This record gives sequence, C-alpha cells and structure tokens, in this order.
Amino acid sequence: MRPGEETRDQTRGDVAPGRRPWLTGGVLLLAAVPIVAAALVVGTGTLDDVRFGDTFLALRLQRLAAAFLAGAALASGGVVVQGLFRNPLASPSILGTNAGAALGGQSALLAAELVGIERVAPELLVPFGCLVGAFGSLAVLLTLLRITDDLLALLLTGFALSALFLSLSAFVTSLAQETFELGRAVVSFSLGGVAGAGRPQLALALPLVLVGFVAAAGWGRTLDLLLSGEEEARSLGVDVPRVRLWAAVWTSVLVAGAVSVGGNVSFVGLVVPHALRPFAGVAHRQLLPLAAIAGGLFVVLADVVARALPAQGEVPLGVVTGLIGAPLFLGLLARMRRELTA
Amino acid sequence: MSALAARGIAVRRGPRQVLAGVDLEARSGRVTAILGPNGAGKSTLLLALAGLLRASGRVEVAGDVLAELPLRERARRIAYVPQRSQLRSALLAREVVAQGRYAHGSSTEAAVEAALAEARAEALGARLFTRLSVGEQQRVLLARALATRAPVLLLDEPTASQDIGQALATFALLRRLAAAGKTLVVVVHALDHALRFADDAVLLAGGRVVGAGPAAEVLAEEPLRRVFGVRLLRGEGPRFEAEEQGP
Repeated sequence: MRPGEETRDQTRGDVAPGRRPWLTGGVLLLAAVPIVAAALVVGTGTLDDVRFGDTFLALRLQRLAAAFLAGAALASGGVVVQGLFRNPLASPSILGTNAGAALGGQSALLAAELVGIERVAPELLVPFGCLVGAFGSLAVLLTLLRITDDLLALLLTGFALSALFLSLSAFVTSLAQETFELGRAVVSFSLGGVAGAGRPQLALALPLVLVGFVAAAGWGRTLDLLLSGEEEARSLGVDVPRVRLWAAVWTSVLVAGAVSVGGNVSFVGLVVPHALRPFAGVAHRQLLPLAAIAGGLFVVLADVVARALPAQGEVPLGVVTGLIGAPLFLGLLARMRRELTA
Repeated sequence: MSALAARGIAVRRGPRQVLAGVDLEARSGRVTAILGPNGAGKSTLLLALAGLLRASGRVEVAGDVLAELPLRERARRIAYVPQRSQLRSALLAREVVAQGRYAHGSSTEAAVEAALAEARAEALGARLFTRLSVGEQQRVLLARALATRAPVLLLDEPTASQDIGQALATFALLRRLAAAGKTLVVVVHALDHALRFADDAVLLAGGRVVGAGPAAEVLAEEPLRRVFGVRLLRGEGPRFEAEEQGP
C-alpha cells in the first residue's frame, strides 16, 4: 500500500453525493429536447395538417406550458415542505392545500351548474375556484397555527384539513352525479389534466408560480439551516416559527398555481425532489431550480404518455403521474434503505 | 460586569420542576463548568442560557436582556454547541461550519476555514458530516460555534464521545479560547476534567444550585460527597496530557 492510500480509501464514499448541480442541470436540459419535441408531436392530428397544423401547435404549446408550470410548482413546493419537515418523504399535500384547491375547483363546477356564476369567465371558473379553495385552506391552517405553532401541530393540522377537504370533495362529486356532464367534469378534474388549460388559465397561474418560486428560493439558505433541527437553527439565528409560516404560505401559493392549471396531479411534489437529491445535493438554493425543471419535464412527459397510451379519450394525467411516480418512489425508498444499512 | 448572568431560571416539564430558581454568572476569559448527577438539569440550564427553551427568570448577556435581543443578535453573542447534531442530510462538514455565519448575513470561505483551523478540524472540512464519528462531529460543531464569532460559548458535554486524546485536545482548545477572552460555559460529566480545566464551577442537584464559585472550592470533598456520594482522593495518580497543547 502506498503512503496515503489508506487515507484515500477511508474517505472514499465520503464525497457528498450530488455535488454536480451544473451537470444535473445540463442533463435535464438535454432531456428537455426530446420531451418537448414529443409534447409538440404526439397527439391526435399532425402538425403537417394544412388547415389545422398551426392550431394543433398552438394548443400543444399551451398544454406543454401548463404541464411544465404545474410540475415545476409542485416539485418546488415539495422541496420546501421536505426541507421544512426535514423529511424527504413529505409532499406539498401535507399542508392540506392540494385538497383545498381541488375542493374549490370542484365546488366551482357544481356552483356554476346549480346556481350559475356569471361574473367569472367560464374558462376561469375552475382556476378561480382552486385559488379560493387553496387560500381558504391556507387561512384555516394559519388561524389554527396561531393557537400552537410547533411542527407537529402543523403536520397534524394539515393532515386533518386534507381529510376534511377530501370528504367534502367526495360529497361534491356525489352531488355532481345528478347530471352526466357535470359528474364527468368533476371526476375528470379530480383525476388531473392539462388538456383544457389555455392562455387565461396560464396567465392566472404563472404569476402565482413565479412569486411562489422566487420567494421560496429566497428562503433557501434558511431552510438549509433547518436541516440541523429547529433547536440548532434557532441557536444560529433562525426565526423558526416565521420560517414555518412563510414556507407554508409559499408552498400553498405554488400548489394553488399548479392545481389551477393541472387539477389533482399526484406524486410530483413527493418524488421529484427526492429523486434529484443524490445528483443535485441537499442545498435548497441549488435543489429548488433543478427540481422545478425536473418537475416540469416530468409532468410534460406524463402528459405525452397520457396522450400516447391507447384508451378511449385520454388517460388522465394524475393516473399517469401516479403510475410512474409510485414505482419510482418505491425504488427510491429501497435505495435509501440500502444506503442506510450499507 | 459578567459576560453572562442568569437570575432565577426555572423550567417545568409537566409535573416535574427541572430547574428551580437557578442563578449563574460567567465571566469572560474563564471556563465555567456546570456539573451534577444525571437528571440534575445541566443540559436544560444550558438551553435556557442560550434562550432555546421557555424558562422563567432572566438571562443577561453583556448587560443586555437576552430575551429582548433579536434572534440574529443573540446568535452573534451566544453560540450553542449541542452534544449531538440533529443533522441527517448530506452536508459537508465545511457547509455545517458555514451555518455559523448565518447571523452575519454572509459566509466567506476564509471565515469558515479559520473556524475549522481554530477547532483543529481542517482535515474534516471536505467530508460528509453524517459520516464522521460522533467525536469528529463535535469538533465540527465547535468550529461552527467559532464561526459565529460569538464571545460567549455554551457547550453541552463537548467531549462526551471523544477518546482521551481528543478530549484533552478539546479542553486545551477551550483553555486557549478562554485565554483569548471568550466566555465558556461547559456542561462537564467528568469531575477530573472540571478540576483540571475549569476556573469556576456550578454544581447542580435536583434542579437547584448547591455550589457555585471557583472550581477548586465548589468541587471539594463535602459537596461532592453530598451530591454524587463519592469520596475525593487527592494525590498524584495516573495523569494524561495532550501531546499538542497548542500555542
């Protein structure tokens, strides 16, 4: 053994995994090329069509933008809550905002049918409903957190709100079965999809996602400190309750934007940040933008698969993300377990 | 004026009074050891001094009431070193040390390297914190505390998981820091370490102070027999010393 060899052997494996954010970003951008190309090409009708080619292209571009926006928002939200809870298995839905937004969207569909809502343009009805639902849910969460502000209270409150809103959603779905079209629309929304997302919906969601992303990125260094636990973070100067509150706010804003264009798209916020950490590292300022790109591409790809799978109509987007995301998540869990026991 | 002064610190956990009206004074340039049997409230007192748990009473740092200072200002004045970190994520030791610069708003490579060097932990900087031994982690946590440049350091059993060589080196480092004007308050388990390295001592039992003052006086035969049920044997028994005591 040469001098120094033992030292190298001892430190081998200590090299932090994922210290290649630039390489990870480069790989994601390379992957974006075929995914975006597929998103523009795959679907009913071809772009070569003389009469409708331009229309197909415009619609698919909007759809691509909506899918990317929803995925980027959910993955960014996932990074924030996983940092907040110091748990790589946390998902943005943990705060109850997803369920609140979904309830809002479904309720808007029901209200439009039953009582008629004329002040809001029909195509913006669902997105507005989602925003009202998401922010209503956030308001309840923040009100309850004024009573007690520890992390467990936040977790349990989010869980209880989720359960409440999911039950109410089921009730709305049952009421919507009175008419076939309404029932179909409510169920379709709850399964997620970006087929109906056009410019107005994008214009509504884009500012929310941008604001949520920039604000979350601004808390990156602080979230890094929370990785050491609340006590240590506080001793280093972090105002933990304030961080917790704003992390909940910005996650909810991101989720509201995502649900308003994509409905209920599952697993993205859970799987994408978790899958990226081995390549992008745990530092939030690096992980957040990479997770946004990866999340966006993941949902765009899932939307392409949804269009390409043989089915009557399209396979719902939420079903595809769940079908890809769940096995991927189990694989990541198995790897994490192997690493822990190695 | 004391660098750190606590008056009437009381902490209750459920039905149990963990601390009952504890007073403590720590002066700059001195090492103050907190001692006591298990469950005496040593670590709880340290957390209360750092302002990290709800406690009644009053803590003053350099004459200012700690509870009235903004959190970042507190972190610039008092650094807390836990016995073990809760960090489970893949951060490099150097990044952990850089956390100590948070309260200053920025982290420079030079400040981090200086803190690592001061804690004799330069060789650990590029390694994953979670892959270090607990003793090595304690050195990195000490480096993080030094990176804050706080004049007061609170350390919870900083040598608990260190071998005798590391422990003596750590205490030698604490002595150097005291000589440089820092105020050190250290929870110590080993009485012999306290007798050798501490200037002052606070002896706790059942959440109350049963002795405070110069270490040699507080850690005398009678109080130790009362609190720990042990006899103090003075003499020239086996004694170890760190090979490298530093400048």
